[in-house]
Amino acid sequence: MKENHPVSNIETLIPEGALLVSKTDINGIITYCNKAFCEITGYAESELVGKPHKLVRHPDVPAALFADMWQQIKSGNPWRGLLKNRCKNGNYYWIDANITPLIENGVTVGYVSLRYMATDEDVSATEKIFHAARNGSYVFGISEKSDLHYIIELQKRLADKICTLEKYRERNEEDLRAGSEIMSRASLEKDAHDPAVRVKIDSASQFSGDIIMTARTPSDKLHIMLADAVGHGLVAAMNLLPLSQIFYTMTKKGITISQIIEEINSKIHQLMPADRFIGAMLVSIDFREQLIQVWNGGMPTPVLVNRDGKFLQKWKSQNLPLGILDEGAFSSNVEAFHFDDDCQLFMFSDGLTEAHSPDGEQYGNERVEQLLQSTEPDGRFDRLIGSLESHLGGHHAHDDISLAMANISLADKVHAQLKSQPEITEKPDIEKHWKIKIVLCENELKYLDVVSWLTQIVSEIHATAGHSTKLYMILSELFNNALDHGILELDSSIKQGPDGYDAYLKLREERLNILARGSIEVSVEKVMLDDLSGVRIRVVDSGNGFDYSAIQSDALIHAEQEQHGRGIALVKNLASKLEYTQRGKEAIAYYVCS
Amino acid sequence: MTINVNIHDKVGRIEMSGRFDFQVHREFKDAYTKLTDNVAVNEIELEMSKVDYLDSSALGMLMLLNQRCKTASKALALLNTSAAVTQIFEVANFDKIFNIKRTN
Repeated sequence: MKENHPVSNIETLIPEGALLVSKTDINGIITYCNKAFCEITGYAESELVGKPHKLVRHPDVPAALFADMWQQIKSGNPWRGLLKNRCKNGNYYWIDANITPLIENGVTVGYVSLRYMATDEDVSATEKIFHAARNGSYVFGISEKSDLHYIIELQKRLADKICTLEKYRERNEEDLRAGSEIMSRASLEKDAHDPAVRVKIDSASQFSGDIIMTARTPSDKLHIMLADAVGHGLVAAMNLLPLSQIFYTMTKKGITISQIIEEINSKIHQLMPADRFIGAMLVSIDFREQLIQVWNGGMPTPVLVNRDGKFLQKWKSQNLPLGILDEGAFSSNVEAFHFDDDCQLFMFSDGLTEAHSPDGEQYGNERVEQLLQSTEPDGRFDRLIGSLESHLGGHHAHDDISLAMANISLADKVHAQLKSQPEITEKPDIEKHWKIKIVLCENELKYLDVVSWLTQIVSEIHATAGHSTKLYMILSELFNNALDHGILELDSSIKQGPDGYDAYLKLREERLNILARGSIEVSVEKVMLDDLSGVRIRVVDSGNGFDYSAIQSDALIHAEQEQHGRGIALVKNLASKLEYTQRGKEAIAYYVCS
Repeated sequence: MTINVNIHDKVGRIEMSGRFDFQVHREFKDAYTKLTDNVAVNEIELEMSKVDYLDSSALGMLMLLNQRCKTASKALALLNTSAAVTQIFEVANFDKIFNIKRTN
């Protein structure tokens, strides 16, 4: 019989309490082995499963022992004895082994072996037996019958193992309970979503690695975020905690989705190890401006469907999932779409498209699209859920599935316009107050670069440190609007067309040169906005007022950005609140500095 | 999932076949550690033509390997990804950070 060589004379000691478990089929081919077995022998699981168990045989063990062992277990009896086994590297280890046939319906289907540390006395006794067997003075099989003492010993060891297992199980349940409480306190699972959004999440285990969040900005824009953390279960769900905090806090402040996604990416990149990233999509729906903006990093393509089932827009993933790139490499660019009629936006995680039928077929993107195209708007969401359920065939999905549908209706535009911006309470802070105010008339307006001068002063103030660029942009836009439209009465439609901007600038210069009367007052002062430190920028011109709503359209951002679109849209994005009074003569912007 | 590792001429190659998911975590790590810790290896290649599926944990494992290679100053390339795997990489935009090659 072939022996396993080479062997060293180095012993590997089995730790007390260690249990090596292995299972074989009826021919002795390994079908299962536990971690301890792999660790002691030094083989990887893939090197053991599928191989004959005799690969751990040590040449010092007489062949006759194995012959006797096989005879016993083949006849349906358990076998017990000490064995010397060989590790992958040639070292040896002694084991107190117990091999039992596995019998189903009266037929032996395999064998299971439980192996423990062997005592020194047993090892010496066995070594003597091996020696005697090699001399021919010992025959295996005669003495070992059912040993009552041994059975009692075995039962005691099994009982100990079961107690330990129970203790682990209880500890695990306690950890899960604590984890569950933390997650719900962090409001990770909000029960009520925005009324415009229907949501469905099916988690693969107690904790979901997928999350759907909806919230409104102060100007009533709807933000929706779908996120899918690597893996599932508690560890995946934990990754979502910082993400959700940032989403809700920044949305409440009216911050744009570009800035939000940038902030979340930085945080995840900073906190999580390299293999823990988060696929996500972040959506902003502005009902007033009829604009949908999407950032997609690593999620399946969301689709916008109109009433007739036609696809209006899709947003393929153009970005890496969150947490992978550092700030320098990260792109927060969003893709926008302007909608003209009622439509629905469908967003989902890959758990949905990869859901398997019992035959292993994936649900797939095509099936989703076909279903959406062929169903009337009111039935799409429920029909998709139903179709998914029957596809799974009663089985539980192996990955978290999430689906969200936003109902976008033009009727909401009216509602959004009526809803006023919520109050940012201004508190006068008389002790630590500062204020800068300048008033300029037609002469100074002709030659002074008011805005850079003013911003430079403001940027020297500690409270506004780090915000000078943004404050510059707000001041610049408001001042230029006051001058161009309020005083000089220029029409921004002149900017349209290829030479529009040049024509505009020329006209502006002409009118400024001949300006006879006009004044602009600009003030920047410190205010407290809901306990946060901020500034209030106020620009008042002496003109007749202008139609500021005509410059209000955010949609123009996505038209030629360098030309006439920037204006007020930019201020609205930068400032926490923007107000116009006196038919456009007075503009007040609030900016939070914290 | 079966994994074979071989080294030829300073290039360590890991050949994988089957389903690359969270269950192969330990095996995959053992396989690449042999190469990342080996000073005689300058480049690591993952031969993926027989990998028919990978999930997000597999993407995570690849990210870890990428990081290890960077620290060890070893080049990393993913070879011959199947259509299904290529599509997953495209959605996650992993082609932007990994060197993906075709040799067959």
